[in-house]
This record gives sequence, structure tokens and C-alpha cells, in this order.
Amino acid sequence: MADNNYLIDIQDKPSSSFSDFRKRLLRSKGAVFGASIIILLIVCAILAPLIAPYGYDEMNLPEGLQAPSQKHLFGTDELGRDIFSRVVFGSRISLQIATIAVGVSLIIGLVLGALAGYYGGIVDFGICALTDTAWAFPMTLLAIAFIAALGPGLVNVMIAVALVSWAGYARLVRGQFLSLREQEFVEAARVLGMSDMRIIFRHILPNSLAPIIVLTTLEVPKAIIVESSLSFLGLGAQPPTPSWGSIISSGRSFIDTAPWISFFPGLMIMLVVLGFNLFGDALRDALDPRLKD
Amino acid sequence: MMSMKRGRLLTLIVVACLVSGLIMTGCSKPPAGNDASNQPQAQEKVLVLGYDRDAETLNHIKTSWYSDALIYIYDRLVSRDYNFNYKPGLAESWDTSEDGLTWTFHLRKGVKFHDGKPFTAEDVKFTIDTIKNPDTASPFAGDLAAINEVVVKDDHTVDIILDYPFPNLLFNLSNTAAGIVNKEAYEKYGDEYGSKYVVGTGPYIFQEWVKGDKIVLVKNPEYNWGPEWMSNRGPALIDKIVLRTIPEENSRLMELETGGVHILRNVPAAFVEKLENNAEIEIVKGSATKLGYLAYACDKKPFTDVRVRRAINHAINREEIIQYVFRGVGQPAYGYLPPALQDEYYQDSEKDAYKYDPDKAKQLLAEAGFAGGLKLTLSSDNSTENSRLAQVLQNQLKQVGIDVEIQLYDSSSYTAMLKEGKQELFIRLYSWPNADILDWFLLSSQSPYPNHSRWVDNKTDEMLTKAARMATWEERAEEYKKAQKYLIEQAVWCPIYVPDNLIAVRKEVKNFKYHPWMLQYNDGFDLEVK
Repeated sequence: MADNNYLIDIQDKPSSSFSDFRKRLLRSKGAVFGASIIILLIVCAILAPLIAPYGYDEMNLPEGLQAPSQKHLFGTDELGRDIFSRVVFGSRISLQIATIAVGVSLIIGLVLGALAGYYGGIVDFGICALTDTAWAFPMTLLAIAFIAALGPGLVNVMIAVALVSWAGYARLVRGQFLSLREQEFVEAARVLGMSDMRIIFRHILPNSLAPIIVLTTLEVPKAIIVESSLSFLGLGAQPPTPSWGSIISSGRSFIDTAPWISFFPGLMIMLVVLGFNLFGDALRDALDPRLKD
Repeated sequence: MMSMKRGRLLTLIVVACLVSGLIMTGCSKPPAGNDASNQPQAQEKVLVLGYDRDAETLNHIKTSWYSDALIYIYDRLVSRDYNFNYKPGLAESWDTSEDGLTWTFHLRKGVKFHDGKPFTAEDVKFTIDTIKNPDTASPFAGDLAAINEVVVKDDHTVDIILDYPFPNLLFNLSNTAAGIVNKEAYEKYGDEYGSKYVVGTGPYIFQEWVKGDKIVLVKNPEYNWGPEWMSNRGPALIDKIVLRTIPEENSRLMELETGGVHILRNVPAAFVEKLENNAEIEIVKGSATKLGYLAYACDKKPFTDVRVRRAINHAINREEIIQYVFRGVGQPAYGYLPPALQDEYYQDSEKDAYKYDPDKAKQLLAEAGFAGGLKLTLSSDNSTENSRLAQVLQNQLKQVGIDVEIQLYDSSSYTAMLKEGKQELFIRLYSWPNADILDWFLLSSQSPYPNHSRWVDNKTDEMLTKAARMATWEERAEEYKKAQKYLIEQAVWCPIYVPDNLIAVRKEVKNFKYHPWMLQYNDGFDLEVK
């Protein structure tokens, strides 16, 4: 809730519209469901050592390939590691990707979009060309190309994800800036002799935050999927790091004798992606002025 | 009223057209398809083999990755039977001069290349000279370094003259890399030889290569010069062999289960249980001439200290690895050669080697000044088995205070990384049926690659070179055993396991025989076709 308060403050809207927005958001079942999954993910990630009964790399070889039981809630993998513990620790990786990679791509997109939209002309042309080029590639494919250049590893995956997903923000922010820069309050600011930076960051940006927040919520699941795909291919987190994608990959050889290895991390990916998408959709509807009443 | 009628009429016409069209196409097809072309196809016997990797080139002189297609396309002067004995191939017999420096090979008569040209001593000379020519840059050149000159005596006699005694010559001539090429064809096709044109004397003729997908071979109807120890010396019983490349492990197995592939070698141990329950598939197991080991860059700290190398050897629990990583398939390894090489293997390897003893390992590390532990990286290729092995090794090394970070590579970047020399600890598996593999991996002159453990040591060089140049096979074996003993002492590697060859064969394949080296020799296997 604190976040939402902040959001509204900088939007400079009367607080009555915030309670309005909250009402509309909570009315949507999808939003509530999505938000609970996101909160659960965050709690899991923060409290992982307390929730997980075993270490994520704790091997107990004689207990390999056991079906789910009371002792091992999600069963064990071929090296006798507890899948439940690995999945719980894996939520940390997904959350890291969600915050760091998406955060970095947001900053890149925001800066480029703002420059293009505010200054226009040759700056706009150059940045647009770059954005369109980046936009033209399928996300996962481009990420694989970056990993091929940088080498596998979790940090490199974050860099790759950030570098492939900024184009959406750049386009969105540019569009917002194009329409806002012609508004009276911006002209007024300019007449008052404010610097460009101050106009961009204090006046235009706060007014274009709503769609950016919605887009971010929708970009997070994409980033999680890309990270899982890369880890599935062995390009992401290195063993024994329990990325959900790599757990699924390691379970492939046992898919018909021990399907639980791949099933549970797969289920988690599905739930988390669904959660973010539902929440993002509801957020968009709630923030859309045209859908008021 | 009118419009409705017209509408109905139109519909009727359209329907009539469609129906008659269907009937006509239905009628015209069967005579062309079923009787004429399908019938003979059903009788053709097509054997499909599945592989994880495509050939680099079918010119075996210019590659070190030998596709199995080369076994079928070419013949070699010498062959090896199921007990590893050297037997005639394209050479009917051979004799050695008293000083061991001149080997005379008497060649088989009546052998023809796939293009119809008769096989002669000139082709033998050409093959060996091409391999040895520095301009060719053949990876196999080093193996024939002992050869000074090849002299053609007559069309069917050739002398190989050596610089020094070299009993391993027979092994090298029986190698896939020593398949005899057709001089005329090789010169004529130049750079296109090995991709578009391939001409040998073997039981199968090259037909087509779709890169990354398949290699197609058809049987050589004139073939009647198979080695005498084979049950079928004449033309192959199977009409066509297709070697398919299916990089993904699970897809490969699915193809096998659904009949898209008949034979699959190097089946991962994890799949054995599942395949054994499948009545249509038989798993053929046999001891392999392979060795899986953990190695380290011996020229880098802390591996320069023999105590650290020994500590690592003591830290590894091989039984646990065999049981849980390889599902009980394979044997623990202690020496530097696979025990299947009976003559050359140092029998006391296990006795001399370092037993699993974590306390001893810790003590050795402490003596070397690493009582506080060590931080290292462990590299491996990203196959499921090796990444599992890496994780178990990580766990075992942790017990003695060595913290290991795992770094996985795909197979080509793994080789590139080793060539660059970035490795600390790394996992390797070799497959080779001769003691000269030690020369390949451990001579100073081979550093930094293929001597990727970067072992540069005068004594090793002396011992291995001496062994290779002994006058007889027996003396050579004795010297190699001494070298193995010394390598164990120095803990140059940490040998881990000798895998079993696991070959999955579908029931349609008849008379499949396990050969430890050339796994799918054309020894009269047949295919049942429905």
C-alpha cells in the first residue's frame, strides 16, 4: 500500500482518486490473486533459509529420486537433494531477476525514451532507430546471443535480460513525452526558465508514471521466463544454484520415472508468471481513466 | 423464390465439383503410389543410427573427430578382431625385417574403389604421404612420425621404412584415421573431397550428406574383401545406412523408442533402467576403452604442489560416483589406462593409487599450507552426466575443505576454453584403445593442448618416448607400465571411472555384435523389415 500512496503523490492527484483506484483494484479477483502470489514469492525469497528444511545443495545420495512424501514435500532429485528446498531458494533467483534486470532495463528505456521524446529531431531519430532494431529481435534469441558473447552465469543473464528488454520502455516513455511536452504546464515551466533536466524529471516524468508501472509489472514475468529458459539451456545459473529453469532441465532425463523434479519448479514458474500478469492487467484497468465508473 | 432456387443450384454445382474432384484424385493416386514405388521401398533394408554430433568432414585425414561413416566407407591395411588382435585388412599379410625398421605389407588383390579404380600400393603410399605432409596439417601426422618412407615395390607390395623401432605401427594402421584413400579421386576433387565426394573401398558407398542432419550410405554390391574373422566377408546385408544427427539427448531416445533410430551408442546411464523395460530394445553392455578423470592445470598454483594433487585424489569417493552418478554402470578407475587394454594396463594401479580418505586429504592440504581451505573453479561440459558428476565432485571436495565453483560450457566452447588455458579443475573423458594416449595427453610437446593438464616434465617425456620406441610389443608394454606407475606417484590426474559402453539396439536389428573399438563394424548384422 505504501507503494501505491507514493505513486499517487507524485501523480499529483487528489487523494479521493486514490481510494477510488484502490477500490477498483481490489474489486478485481485477478488482482488479489496475483498480488497474493507476488507477496508469497517475496516472503519465500526473503525467508528461504527458514522455510526450506534442507540446504539447496545438500546432497543425500542414497535418498535420490524419492517421490514426494512428508519428509520431502516435493520429492528429491537424482542427487538426493530436496526439491522443495531448491524451489524455495530458487524464488530468490527469480526475484533477483525481477528486480535487478527489470530495474536496469527500466532505467535504460526511461533515459533513452525521455531523451528521444523530449528533444525530438536527430536525437529522436537515432534513438528510435536503435530501439526499433532492438525491438525487432525475439527476446530469448537476442539474450542467447549476449550470453554467447559474455559467457554463462547469473550476472550475465541479468545483463542480457536488461539489454534485451529496454526497447518497450523506450517506446512507451517516448510516446508519453511527445504528448506531454506540448502541454501548458510544460510550456509554463520552460517560460519560467527551468532547466531541461528539471522539466524532464520533475514535471513530465511523474505524469507518465502510471503506464510505466503497468508495463513494468508485465515485463517482470517475461524476464523470469527468459531467465528460466536460459538456465534450462545451461546458459544461466551454474549448478548447484537452484534456478527453476535449471531444475527443470536436470529433471528431463527422469521425466517418466521421477516427474516431480521438473513438475514443481515448472508449476512455480507458471504461478508466478500468471500472478504478475493478472496483477498487471488489473493494475492497467484500474489506472485507465477511460474505464472509470 | 427465384433467388433461392438459383442459390441452391449454385450450391449443388459447387458440391458436385468438389465430390467429383475428390473421387478423381482418389482414383488416380493408388496405381501410381502403392504398386509401383512403395513396394520395392518396403523391401529395402535401411538401418538408422543416431548420433549426438555430426561429422566435421568425411576426409578422415583432416579431422580428429571420426564419424562412424568412415568405418563403413573405408578399409584399412590392418583390422582388429573382438579380442583386439591385429588381423589382415587390405593387407593380406606383413613381415618385419630383423632390425624392426622395414615392414613389408602384401596387399589384397582384386579390391576396387567405389569409383571402379583398382586398389594398388600407390594408394597406400599416397595415403601415408598425405597424412605426413606438413601442408596437410593432419592431426594424425604425429602418430605416423616414426615412418621415414613408403616404398612401392610392385602393385601389391609396399615397404614402410621406419626411423626407429615402432611396434605400435600396426595399431596406427588399423585406426579409422588410416583408412586408405583413392589417390586419383583425392587429387581430383581437392577441397570438395570429404564433403561432396568420398571414395573408399569399404562395404558402403557414400551417397549424400545433409550437414547437421544425416549422412546416407548405400551398400557396395562388389564388396567381397571383408577381414577373414568376420562372419560376412561379402556385400553387406543391409542396403542403406543412415547416420542421423540428433543433438538433443531426449529426442534421440524418443526416436529410438518410436523406431526412428535403430541403434544408439553412448546411452546415458540414467536411461538404462527405462530402456531395459522396453521389450523392443536391447541394451548391449561392454567394457569400454574409456577413462573419465578429474584433471587440473599442473603449472598453476596450488597444483604445482604434488601434495595438493594427492589430496584431491584422496578426496574423491569413486564408488559413490559410480553408484549414484552412473547408476552402477562402470568401474572405479585408479590408473591412467582403461583395464580393457590388457597388455598395456599397469595391473597394480589400484594398489599404488590413492584410496578414498578425506582425513589424509585434509592432512596433505594442511602440509601444503592450505589448512584454511582452498577456493577453485571446476569446469565441465554441460552434458547431464558431467554436470551431475561436477556437482558430486563439488560436494566431495567440500568435505576436505576445497570450495569449488562450477562452470559449465557447451562442448565446443569447452575445448576453446581449454586451449586458452583458463582451467583450474576440469573433467574429461577420453576414448582410445592404446597406451599411446599417454603420449598424446602428457608429453611436454603437447602442452598446452591437447596436454590440457599442462604437465611439463622431463622424466615423463623420457619414459614415454622410450616406451614408444621399444623393439617389440611386449617390451613396449613393460615400459608403458613403468610410466603409468610414475604418473600415479605424481598424481598428474585424478582418475575416476571407466564407463561401460552402453549401446541400445532395437529388436529389428539381427546379429549385432559388440566390438570394443569399432562399435558398429559391418560384421554381418542384418535388419528385419516388416
